[in-house]
Amino acid sequence: MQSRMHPKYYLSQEIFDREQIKIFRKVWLFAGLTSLVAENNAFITRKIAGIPVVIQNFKGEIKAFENICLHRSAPLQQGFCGRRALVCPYHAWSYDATGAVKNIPDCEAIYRFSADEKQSLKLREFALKQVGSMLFINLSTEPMAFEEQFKPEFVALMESAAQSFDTEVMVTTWHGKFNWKLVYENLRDFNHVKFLHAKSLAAIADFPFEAPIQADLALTPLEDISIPGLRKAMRPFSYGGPEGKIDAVRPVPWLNMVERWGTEDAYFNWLAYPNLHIACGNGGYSFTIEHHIPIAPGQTDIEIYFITAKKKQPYAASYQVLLSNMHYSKTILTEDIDMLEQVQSALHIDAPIPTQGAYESTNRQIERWYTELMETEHEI
Amino acid sequence: MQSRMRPEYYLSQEIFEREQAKIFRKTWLFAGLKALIPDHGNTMVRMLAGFPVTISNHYGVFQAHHGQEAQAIQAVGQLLFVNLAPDPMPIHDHFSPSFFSSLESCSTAWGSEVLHTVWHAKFNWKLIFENLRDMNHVRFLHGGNFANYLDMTIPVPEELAEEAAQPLDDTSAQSLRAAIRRFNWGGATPVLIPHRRKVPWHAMVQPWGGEDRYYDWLAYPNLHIASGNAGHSFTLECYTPVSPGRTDVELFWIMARKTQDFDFSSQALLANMHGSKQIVGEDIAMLEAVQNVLHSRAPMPHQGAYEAQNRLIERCYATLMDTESEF
Amino acid sequence: MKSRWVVGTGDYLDLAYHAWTQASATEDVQKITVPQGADYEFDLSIFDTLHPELGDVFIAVDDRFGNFKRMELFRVALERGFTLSSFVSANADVASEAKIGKNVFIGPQAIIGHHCKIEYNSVVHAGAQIGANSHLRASVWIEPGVQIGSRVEIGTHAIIRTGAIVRSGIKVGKGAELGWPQLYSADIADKTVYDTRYDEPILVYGS
Repeated sequence: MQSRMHPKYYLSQEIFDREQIKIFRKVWLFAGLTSLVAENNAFITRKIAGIPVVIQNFKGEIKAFENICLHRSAPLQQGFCGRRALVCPYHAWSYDATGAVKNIPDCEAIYRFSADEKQSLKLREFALKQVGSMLFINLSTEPMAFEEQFKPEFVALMESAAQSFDTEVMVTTWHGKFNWKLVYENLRDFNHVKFLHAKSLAAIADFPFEAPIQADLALTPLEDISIPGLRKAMRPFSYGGPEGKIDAVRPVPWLNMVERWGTEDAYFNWLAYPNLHIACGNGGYSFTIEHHIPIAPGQTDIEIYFITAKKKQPYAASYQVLLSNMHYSKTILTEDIDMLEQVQSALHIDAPIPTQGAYESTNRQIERWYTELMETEHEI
Repeated sequence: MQSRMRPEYYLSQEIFEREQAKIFRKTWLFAGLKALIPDHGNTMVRMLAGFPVTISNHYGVFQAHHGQEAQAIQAVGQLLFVNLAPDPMPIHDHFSPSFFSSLESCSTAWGSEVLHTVWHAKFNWKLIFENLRDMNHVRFLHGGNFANYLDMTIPVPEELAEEAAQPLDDTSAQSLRAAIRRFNWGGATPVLIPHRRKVPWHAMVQPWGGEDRYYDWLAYPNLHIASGNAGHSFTLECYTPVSPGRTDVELFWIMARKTQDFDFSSQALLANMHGSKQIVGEDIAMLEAVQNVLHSRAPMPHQGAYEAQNRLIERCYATLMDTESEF
Repeated sequence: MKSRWVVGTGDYLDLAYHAWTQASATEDVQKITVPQGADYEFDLSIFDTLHPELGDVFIAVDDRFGNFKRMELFRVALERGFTLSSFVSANADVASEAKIGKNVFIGPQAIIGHHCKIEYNSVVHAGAQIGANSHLRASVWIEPGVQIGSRVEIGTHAIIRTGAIVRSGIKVGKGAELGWPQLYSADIADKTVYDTRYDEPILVYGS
């Protein structure tokens, strides 16, 4: 079958901008970990779909605001994360937990704002949702319900795992030279594992997959293109669970130092559409969160968080455990990244449209939905 | 008050090109110093409004050419200004007589040694001017150093605040020229330098101005001059817009003319430059952070009464960008 | 004749063994490899055959697991009563009043400036330069040719790789790894890893 994915979806700036507005500014997106904003005044900053965001802890309450001071447009907080009151470093305007201006130094003497004007100064706030120790954000002014985007069983399993996350987290970012969609097409395709990862992942895990029935192949156009219909259609795009079979986990000392999540010796995967992947390759001892941030049609930042299950007690070498696990998973991820960068570099506007097999039905479902959004005025 | 400055003024390539055409190819631009081409036959090439312009010294007469075409050039003391318009406005339409003579007086007092470097900043050129006209940021952003030795109070120009709130009714070229004349100011500021650090070379030059005061000049749209040591040495900052999000910040350091010869003056200027690098570095880092978070749907800035001068300039700027009015 | 047991694993064990052999004519230098199991744990049974009254131990395990593996054997040897004398190459230039801790290795052509302090179990490889008044805490690993300025503080378990230059006055956090060949001119937070295979530093938050 021919795919619906025209090369322009991976190359065009116009399509990229449309994705940012029609998908990324509408849906719930991964925004960070609560362990990074655990204390009063702790914050993280991000740029999501072009909008700078600060997520800040106000005496236990976690809020998300546009990270732009209303005075001279300076970012209120800088750096990936830190601990500092929500005060602009430029002219020291401060803001409270509702996003309202709390104090402007010498307001009477030099600004002369009326009471009304001062009261009207309020930061744009964004909806946040906590799932275990993960935070999700929605940039829309009228955010859809979290449950509209994700199935309850998906959320429940992910939440259960995310409740077991330790508070020590290792973070890095890679700059991938490919379109963000290629990653997810790849992640939904277990067939590549035995070829691309023949010596790495395939040696330790086995991912069974099958070709579904004809009805799942998304051969016909989407029927319900109303807003609720398109939201409903995207719900199955996020799924997760024990997808891979693994050999018994090799006993290394650190496994005894953590409270394992669950008991199943399996390779767990979660894919949260559009840009979050969580993997747990050792049956609940540690987790990799991969957050893919679209930067440009041919550029995607891959933000990696590495976490073990909760430690039973702190120990000095725990960060070295994270580091060796990260180095290991890097070897597999690099195989994917190299391949996807090759794909991107060979793409051109007249490149042949991909041909898909029956086993690629999930990708086909997503592509049908995606092209509907890109090619029409329909919205989610 | 809500500012008139929409995010697109700092982000759009189209606006950038309109600025180049309607501001930078119409006004008098700082184009270098005589000291850089002191002898007959010396030349330098300056990027002005996107064009390479050759400035040359022809038996002491300074000339400007873009290709074969001669451009209007005007020396003001040591300073050279070029106007790229086919029918350039008289320089006194752009610089008031008092501003002109203040520039002339101070730059005539300068020596001939010039220290020069360029920083490549990632922000829109207008942000730096908005920052320079805002004394309120100093105590917060530069709290660590600058604010400690300068004694700054923030003036609130009451009458301007009222005026800036009104729309610009008269948008004739005459009125717009009158408007930008007011954007250029300079000389003695109300800021005193009560604790100027005395260094030996200060006694070996003839300081300009004669007071322990902070001196500074702003020549819209591309020049800032300051002396933070009461006229013993001067920093010139020339801002060259490269793209909506890029500005070259060119720095020149010059001493007041020497009263006796000494051979370490370039090291004294270098020490000055390193000292100011920290402060200008703080400004640049902040403005790059501002540029970095700007996006087309970002909130409009809110200004206080003390920012009336910026509001006046923005009124004129928005008129130029959004209408067919010209200088 | 007293024994000098050079105990550890890998290339660094070889290097330390040869260094001790060349340096001490009055000792019987022996190389003892400690095997690591599939779970990376050491087989410590070899220590049962070594006695402090018959000689001294030098632990030679490289930077694996952030120097924690060398630390593990160091602790075992200390508990068993060994002195764990440091090794300073005769060709190193070490300021006379510099303080050097137990089980430290200082390779040939290394330069240690005046008033430096190098704490126990640290390794300064050949040709590394440590500026005056610098302080290396315990279990640090400095690769050949690294240049470290004056007044630099290096936290425990840090790793500085060949090609790194650390500017004077900088603090390098504990557990940091400076693996990108470049000038480091700002303080480095604890556990920050600059690994050449990565696009950005690896950072650790929380505990």
